[in-house]
Amino acid sequence: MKPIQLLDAQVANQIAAGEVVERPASVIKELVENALDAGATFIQVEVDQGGRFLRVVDNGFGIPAESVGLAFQRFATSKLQSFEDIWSINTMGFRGEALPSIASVARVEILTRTADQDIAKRLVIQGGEIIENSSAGGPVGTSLTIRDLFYNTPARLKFLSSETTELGYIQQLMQAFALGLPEIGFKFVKKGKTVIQTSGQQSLSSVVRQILGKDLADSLYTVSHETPAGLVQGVLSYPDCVRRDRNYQFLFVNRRWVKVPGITKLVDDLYADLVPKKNFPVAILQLELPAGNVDVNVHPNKKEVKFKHFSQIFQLTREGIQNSLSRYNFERSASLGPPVVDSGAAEPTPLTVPTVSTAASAMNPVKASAGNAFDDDDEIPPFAMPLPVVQPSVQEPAAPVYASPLAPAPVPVQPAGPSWAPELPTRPPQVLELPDLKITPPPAPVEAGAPLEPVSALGQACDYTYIVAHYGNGLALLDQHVAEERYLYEELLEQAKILSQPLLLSVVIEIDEIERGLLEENRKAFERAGFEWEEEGPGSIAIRAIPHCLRFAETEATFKEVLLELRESGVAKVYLESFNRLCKTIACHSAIRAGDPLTLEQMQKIVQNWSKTRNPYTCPHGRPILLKFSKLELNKRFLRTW
Amino acid sequence: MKITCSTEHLRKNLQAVQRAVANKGILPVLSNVLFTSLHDSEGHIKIIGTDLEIGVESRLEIGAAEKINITIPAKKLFEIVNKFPDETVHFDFHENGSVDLIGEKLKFNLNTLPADDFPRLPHVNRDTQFSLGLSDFCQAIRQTTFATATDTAKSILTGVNVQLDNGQLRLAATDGYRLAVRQLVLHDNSPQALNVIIPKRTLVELERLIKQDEREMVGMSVTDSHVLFESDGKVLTSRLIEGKYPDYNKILPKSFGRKVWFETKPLLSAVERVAIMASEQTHVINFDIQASELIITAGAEQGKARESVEVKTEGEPLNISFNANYLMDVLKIFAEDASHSLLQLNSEIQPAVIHSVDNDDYVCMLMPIKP
Repeated sequence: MKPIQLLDAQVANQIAAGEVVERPASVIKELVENALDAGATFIQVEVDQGGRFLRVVDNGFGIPAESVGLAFQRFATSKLQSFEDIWSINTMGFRGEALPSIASVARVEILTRTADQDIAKRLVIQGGEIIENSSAGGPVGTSLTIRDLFYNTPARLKFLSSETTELGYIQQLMQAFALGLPEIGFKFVKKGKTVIQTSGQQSLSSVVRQILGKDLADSLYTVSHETPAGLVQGVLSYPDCVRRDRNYQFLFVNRRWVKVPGITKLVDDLYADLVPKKNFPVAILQLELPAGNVDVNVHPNKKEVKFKHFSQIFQLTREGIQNSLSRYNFERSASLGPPVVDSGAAEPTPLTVPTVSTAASAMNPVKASAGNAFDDDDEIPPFAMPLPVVQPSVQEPAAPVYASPLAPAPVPVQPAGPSWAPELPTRPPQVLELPDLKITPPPAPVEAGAPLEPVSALGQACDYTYIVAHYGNGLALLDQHVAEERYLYEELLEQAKILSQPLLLSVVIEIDEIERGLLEENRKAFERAGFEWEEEGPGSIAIRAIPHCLRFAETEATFKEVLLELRESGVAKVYLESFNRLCKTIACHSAIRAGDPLTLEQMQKIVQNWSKTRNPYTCPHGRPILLKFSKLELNKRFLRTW
Repeated sequence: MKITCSTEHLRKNLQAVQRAVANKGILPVLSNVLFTSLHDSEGHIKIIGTDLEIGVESRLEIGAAEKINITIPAKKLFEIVNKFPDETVHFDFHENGSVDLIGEKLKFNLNTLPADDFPRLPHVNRDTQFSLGLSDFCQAIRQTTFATATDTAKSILTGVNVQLDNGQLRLAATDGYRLAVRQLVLHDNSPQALNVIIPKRTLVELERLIKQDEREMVGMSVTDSHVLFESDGKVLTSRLIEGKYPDYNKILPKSFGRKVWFETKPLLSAVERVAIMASEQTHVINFDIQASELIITAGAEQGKARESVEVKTEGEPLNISFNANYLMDVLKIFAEDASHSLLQLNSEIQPAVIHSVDNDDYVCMLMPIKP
């Protein structure tokens, strides 16, 4: 047996490198964060050779000549003096592992000068050893060149992906930096070609336009929300502009790019009934939190963070996004027709508790145990959510943000303070201003009764599938089914109890034991939705009453669909969630269908109802409702351009 | 080949046939009507139109005994004949497949399609044909078709159930919320027992087709999959809806705890007025049944309405809600020929049954809405 020995510095650094320097992109991340901590306002990144050649040039403070060598020693950092400091760091790099780790697995050249020095210091390090130490001419700041990354760790080299992939990771990283820190100028040169270039003087919207393209930039809205827990700012895309991946979702916590699964899930949930399944909005979010409330010391690559009060941060983010989403909806509906002015009628009527007849309780002996969490009727909050958002968790209070929706104008996005594009070189406070994005303070609520009807139906097209309508001075196509579905869904959600239509002919459906269990667990939700049933036999039930709006012929399909969803979702016990699902399914099976011929009057009714919805863009399952053509657009197509 | 016929006769024939002509082009030839002298007596031709769901044929007297078998575009032909100025029309069929319609001072030339492409109407054996009183049957059609389901997802309910048993013919229709049942007594020896479902449209078209006929009886023949009606030289053939109609006898209540006698037309008018204020989503209208008055109320987002109607009652007071549209459908039918009607009820969640005070061969049943 070999005796136990202390590892020598080189080996220790190589092992540490495995943690920090996972792949070329992680090297870039470390170096850019170092540059940012050095106060750089412009950072240029060059990559080539599949990520084995990397160069990061910044205009930061530079490293004093006498301590350059020290920077390459492990745990050397300018950022921490004591262990306590680690809890309140505001800089990005702090562990003192990055530079030595990188230097241990590559040939590194550093050229650095501080403002009070006349001449720059040049150091060449290979395998952790300084092999050249000289002076040279150079600008203030630091330039780090890394050649032959992983030249002495063949195992790691072997695991590098293809050039496209590795450079792709770096590009995504650079996009994230550029989007997250628009006040910093970034230049990203990939294989000699400039791919990203921002000036550091731009607004976020122009950076977005530059990096993500004009179309995407035009469909973004801003978020800005502050509570004692912190500040959330950023941009997200409207529900009608979503992607099939999450590649354009970036979260920055105190200017550090991180991944927080909880926040990712939150964004998913907020968009759940607005976009089709497996579609995701663009979301670039910045969280500014007191440094003491964030623990970045979870993982050497600092991509994960821990929060002290995550529920507060969760709520902060949720409110921020919901506010903007609903304001956006408000603006749309205001431009479409009279907004929903919830007068007294909006006051949620308390749920009428169905009188449990003796017959019913005999029929339902397991009720007490099955629905224990919901047996107390007080637990059923009045369902008055303007934005039909799936409640992320039961513990959360039922959307207090929306208690009185829309009528009072929400806080306008017009920060008086300094802008996102700061006066250089001082690091600015993180306040967003997005002058280019067309977010204006919401218009004053339209008076109830003021008739303004810029949408009016003209007819049906494509085998009675779409309603053609005047839309402002343009034209719109509405999918008649989903337009009505959206309206019905929102209507149903607000009912304390959906009106029940007893059936002349009861509908007998077969159910298995699991379904019977689900039905019992969700009895309250089903009953609130207007369904009533009785045991018919060992494997079947007879449905005696259905929601008043539901098509009789769709009874079985609706029932089965909800049971299937409940079975698959695994959240079957959450009362509101179940009711929400029921409403979605009922709305879908109640709405007129594609192919139903309509009179002009019926079309008009559908369009008017639709224009009053809070989210006129997508149906509860996420399909788009509206396709619009402005007059300008049509004129262009007809070459009517004079 | 030439034929000559009376413009008036031709117009009537085309009027009967053209409603069966397909107006959407499934097959081009279905937009045409067939003129055929095959299988028919001398001096007559048949004109046939069909959309494959129903087919209508009528007999037209022609001057000479020519052999004809050709299809002519239905819509154009009907328009021309409707505006034809002369008493007779001369048809001149050409070898090249076109036909001239000739009057004294005018001539139309229409393109035709060969008769071989025209589908044959299904053969229905008329040996077991039986007769129905024409006006009663037309009334029965009006009294039941309104209650059929419009939703094609449950196709059985889109038709009217016709049952024959012991000389009694029963027509019934339901959409799951209401039920209308009409009994007819057959005059001649009714043949066999019968239980079929006839599509709503077939009956609606039949009523339109025969209600003006100066006949007392209409003939009906049924096979496993088709039904045929015959009146005044006109024949309507239709497919049947396959399936088993729900047994509605089981759901018709036998006894009632509450009865309300009312004048039909005044109640209908009152319901129509109050329904103005009913919710546009739910259409709920409420009946508060007191000893000698019925108070109808409705109210929604935009306001409320209340009207009281004098009635005679039996049983305890009751408060019950209905879908106003369904209720008006039913009352309208009764208002046609029942001056006084009877509403029978048990509770606010059990079905309401309405029939005429004078006779009970027609019954409507309506589910309330749960309060």
